[in-house]
Amino acid sequence: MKDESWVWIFPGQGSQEPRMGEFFWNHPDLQSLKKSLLEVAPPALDEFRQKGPETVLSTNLHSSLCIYITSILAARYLNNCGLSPSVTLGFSVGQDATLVAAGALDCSAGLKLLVERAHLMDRESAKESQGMLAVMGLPVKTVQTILDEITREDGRVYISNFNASQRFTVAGLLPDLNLAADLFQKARALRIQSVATTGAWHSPFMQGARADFEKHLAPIMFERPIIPVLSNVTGKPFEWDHLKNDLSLQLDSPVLWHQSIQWCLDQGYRHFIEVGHGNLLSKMLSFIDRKAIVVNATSVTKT
Amino acid sequence: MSDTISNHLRKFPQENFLLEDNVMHNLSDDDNLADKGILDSLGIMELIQHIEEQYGVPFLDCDITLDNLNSIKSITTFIVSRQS
Repeated sequence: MKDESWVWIFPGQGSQEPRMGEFFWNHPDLQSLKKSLLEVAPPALDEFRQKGPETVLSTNLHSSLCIYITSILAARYLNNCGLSPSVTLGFSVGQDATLVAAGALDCSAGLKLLVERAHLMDRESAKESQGMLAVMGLPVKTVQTILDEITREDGRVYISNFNASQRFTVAGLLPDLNLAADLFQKARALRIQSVATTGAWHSPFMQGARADFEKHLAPIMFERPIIPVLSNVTGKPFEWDHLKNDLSLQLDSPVLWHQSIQWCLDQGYRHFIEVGHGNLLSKMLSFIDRKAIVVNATSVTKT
Repeated sequence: MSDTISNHLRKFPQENFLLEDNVMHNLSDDDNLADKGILDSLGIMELIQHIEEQYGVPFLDCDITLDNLNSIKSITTFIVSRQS
């Protein structure tokens, strides 16, 4: 593969599964980097990645870190193949890895930040029974009208991810999500699926986490990247002066994934590499532009 | 032509998704593919791409609806209507 204008996209939660990322975790050229990351990770992370149980692997902390480390190793693998990104963007927890890949953040510091992020999000989600729901096949206006209706009934459900045209994730309290599912069904949604998360991520339910995350971000040193790194909060490249603000806002703001991909397409980018495990983002991207070329990092070889 | 298309559509999930052996055999053309656990949201996209490549029928955003993708019959009807 020739190093041209490739957008590197980094997956978030939902892509984890036992033995994820084996290609990168076992690659002989990546053992030193893996060791340095595991030294600052919680104990037995690699054992959980390999053997599960899925109940542990799917916790916010373990899934975040396994996804992150897989992406960091994949990015190094691509570097070793002679590639570097023209643009980076990551979905939710994937956003930290984008900053590392763009040279803005040290990979160990990124991992420590994710540990704090997961603890804070889990603390907020433990306060109430929260969850998320994916809905497909309804226009945003219809989805929002339904959520407004729930709000009028004193419920609280919010759009938490703009994934693609007519594809959203909503977050809220479980009883309110059940009501939302009924209303989406009545509106003839094509698919409604619960999302395997333990909290109402990227919604106002995470406001408490955001406030404390700001304190953890304050002492972190970021290098100014020389390539565009897209913000989940704006769907556009981070403005340097707003970087830390956007990173904390991301916890209780929707992920503007569709808008981010559209920004890349509007700039003329058509080639994407999914830097991490699986192909969830590749499939999601095909809902936005079926002509875009998307490959996984495992398919890249040294030239 | 409808029969050919619906028979072909029946093969796609069986060959591309992890389904139990008899799922498609026991499926009627009117059965809801989501209720039967055959097509999740990502599977739908794979099927749409397959239809676009196989039949040259483009799906616009406004075409990705329950009415067009609910069952083997509804998908077949959509393809035939776009081909004619």
